[in-house]
Parts: sequence; structure tokens; C-alpha cells
Amino acid sequence: MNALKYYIISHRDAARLGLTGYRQGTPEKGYVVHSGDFVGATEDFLERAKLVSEQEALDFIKTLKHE
Amino acid sequence: MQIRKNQGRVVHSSLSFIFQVVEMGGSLLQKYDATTASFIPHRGVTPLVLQPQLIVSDPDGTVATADYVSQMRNVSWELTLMSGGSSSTLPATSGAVTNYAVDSTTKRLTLFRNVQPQEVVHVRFFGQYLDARRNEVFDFEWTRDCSTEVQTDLNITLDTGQWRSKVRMIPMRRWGQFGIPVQLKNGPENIADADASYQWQWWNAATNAWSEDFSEQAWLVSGEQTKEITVDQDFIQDVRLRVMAIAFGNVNTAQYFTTRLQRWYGQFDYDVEFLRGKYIFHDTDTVVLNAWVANAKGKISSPCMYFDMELFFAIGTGDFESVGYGEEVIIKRNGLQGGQPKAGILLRELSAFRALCEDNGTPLCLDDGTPLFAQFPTKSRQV
Repeated sequence: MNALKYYIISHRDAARLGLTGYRQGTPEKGYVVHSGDFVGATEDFLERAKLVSEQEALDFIKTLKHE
Repeated sequence: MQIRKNQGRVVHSSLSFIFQVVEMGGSLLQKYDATTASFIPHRGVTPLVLQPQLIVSDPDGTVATADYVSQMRNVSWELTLMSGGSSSTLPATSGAVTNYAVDSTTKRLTLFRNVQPQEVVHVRFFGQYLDARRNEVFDFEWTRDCSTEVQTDLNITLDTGQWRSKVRMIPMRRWGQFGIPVQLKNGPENIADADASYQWQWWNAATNAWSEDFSEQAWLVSGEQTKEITVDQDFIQDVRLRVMAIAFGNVNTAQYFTTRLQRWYGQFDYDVEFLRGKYIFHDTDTVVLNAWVANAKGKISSPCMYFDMELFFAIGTGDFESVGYGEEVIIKRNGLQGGQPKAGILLRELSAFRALCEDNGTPLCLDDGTPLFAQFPTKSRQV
């Protein structure tokens, strides 16, 4: 079983992938997505994405809530 | 005279509805990796979003066909947590933790809570739509269960790279201090160090068991509890090492790798030659003997680092007598003309460095407590 990977992507990429409606993030800081969200997307999206651990993703979300 | 009235009616055809709840960003069925104790996905990171849609269409065309969910009334989302035979209403927040949130405009439910494998979260949506023209109220209800499936189908392996189960270390080929790296993997992916533990062990022939006590093992440099142990070739004569690697703290995933490190000389040849004194003249009073050792790669430089080289000399039918140790010995004496000179060599492999001990086994140490080590011939002296 391959572990799910989490990424932070830019607002532009999130919008192009149609994820801004239900993924957590802001236009300024980007959005947290997982590897399943890239299904069907071209490789360049993944190349621009920043891979983060689950804990780093949770920490990122905390910073969103404190804004 | 009064006007006689009669009243007509506007007849509105009944509306048609399509109601559905769209799952976005995830699924009602979550997965749980029991070995890594992680949810896939973690809804706190990527939540499940349930978006209701109410498509209204009017056969007469007076009401535009569109999604009217935002105009629904008395909308409620009820989440019931069922666990261990009991059920309770799941609140939107538990202290500082948000379980779920509902958007008042879109009526969208965002579920942040992970559902434990032994739990079921029953989700119920209820909402009404009022057709003001006909003064009719339509109820819409939708229910589903959120549950979690446990998965443990791991493929844990221990990657030992090019290391073999038996490694012969030729002393003349300097390994120095070197590491033996291993890596736990789950399928093709490395398991992070934080999720893995490594414990190296050595075979204690005295107790006939694997030992994790390295306190008296001079060949250990570092890393006996990491994925790369570092050892020192100079102190290794014959060591059996084993690593026990455990993934995600689950002993059922334990993987082992055993390797035997041996000091090994391989094939070599040696001889002693006369540098001077092969031919004894009347005034010859000096003989110089020179010994060499060679292997497949040629003559070994500084062979005394690896061999105990004892040189012998004899004249005529006399017995060989030991004349010194090393590559070269100078014999200066009178009476060399008494017979044909003969040279001999006793070559013995040197062991790895071993601690010098007293008869009772106590190691000899310098004043500062540093133990003394020395190399010894591995075979007895037979002359």
C-alpha cells in the first residue's frame, strides 16, 4: 500500500486543477492537496508542488486558522 | 346594477426535482493503515466535502432550471457517532477541534474528523424547498454512513544494497572504518527513519547467542542503533553481525540481515633472498637477507604490517637459527666460509588487533585507562 503524499500548491495550480472549492488554503499561501488530486494532471503540476509530511500539512493548516 | 364576477385561476404545472449530494475531495469510506497508524487520507488535512444540489425544472418554463440549494429552508446536517453499541450526536466542534462545518449559503458540509475503524458516523441531510406558486413544500432527505477500512497489506523488506552475507576483508586492501548501510522499505519506498528502528547485534560464541552489548567490542565505531553501523577493519578477525529492523514499531514487521566479516589473506607467495652474501668469498663477513611476500597484484609493500616475518640463517649442515624479524636482516659475523649459506623464512599471518590481557582476563591499560592492543600471529611457531 503506497502511502498518500501531501503537497502544497499555488493558488493558480489549485484553481487550474479545480481544487480551490474544497481543499484548505488561501490564495496567498497556497492549498494543501494530496497525491490523488493530481490524477489526470500533467507532470509539471507535480514538479511545482511542494511535498510535505502529514504533520507539516497539519501545521500549515494551523497557520491558516490563525490568520 | 352590479357587475357579476367570475374568477379564473393560474395553473402551474408541478415542478420536477433532482436532488443529490456530491462527494468532493474524498470518499465516505476512509482507509486506515494499522501499521503506520495513519488515515488515508487524513481528513484534518484534506477533508471530505458533501455538497447538496437541488436542480429544479419547470415544464412550463416559468421557473428557470438551476440549482436552488441555496434557497432551501430548514436545512440541517445531523451527524451521529455510533461506536461500541451506543450512539451520540457528533457536535460540530469538540473543544478546539473542529469535527465538521456547514456553509450557510451553499449548505455544504465539510467533514474534518477521521472516523476510527471501530466507529461509524451516520450522516443525515434534511432540507425543504417551497414552491411559492403552488404553496407546496417539498422535503429532501439524504443519509449515508462514513466508515473506515483497516489495511495492513504491507510489503516490508530490508534493502542491504551490495552487502553480502559473507565478506572477506583482505588486510592489504585498506577498508579502514567503514559503514554497513541497510534501509527498510515498504514496497519500493524507503521507510522514514522516524518510522523505523534498527538494532545491530553480534554473535557471541561464548554464550552462543546474539548480543546487543558492544561495550567491549573494539571493532565498533558507532551506529549500533542506526541503519548504518560503522566498524573498524583493524579490529575485525571474525565477526558475525546481524541487524534487526522494525517498521512502524510493529514487531511483526521485523526484518533481519546477517553478515559475517572475516579477516582473510587469500592466496599469496613469499620467499627470502640474499641481497649480499649469496657467494661467500674469503673476506666476506656480511650477509643481507631480504624477504618478500606477493599476491596476485604483485609484491606487497610493508609486508610486516600484515605478516610476522621471522628470518633464519644457516651455514653448511648447521641448524637454522633465527636471525631476526622483518623484511631485511643483516648478519655480520666471522666464519661464514665454513659452508654454503642458507636462508629461511617463517611467515605467519597477523591477526586483527586484540586487547592485551593479564592471565585473569583483565585488559592491560595505559595510565589514562586506554586499553592496549596488539597483533599476533594466527598460527603457532613450528621450526
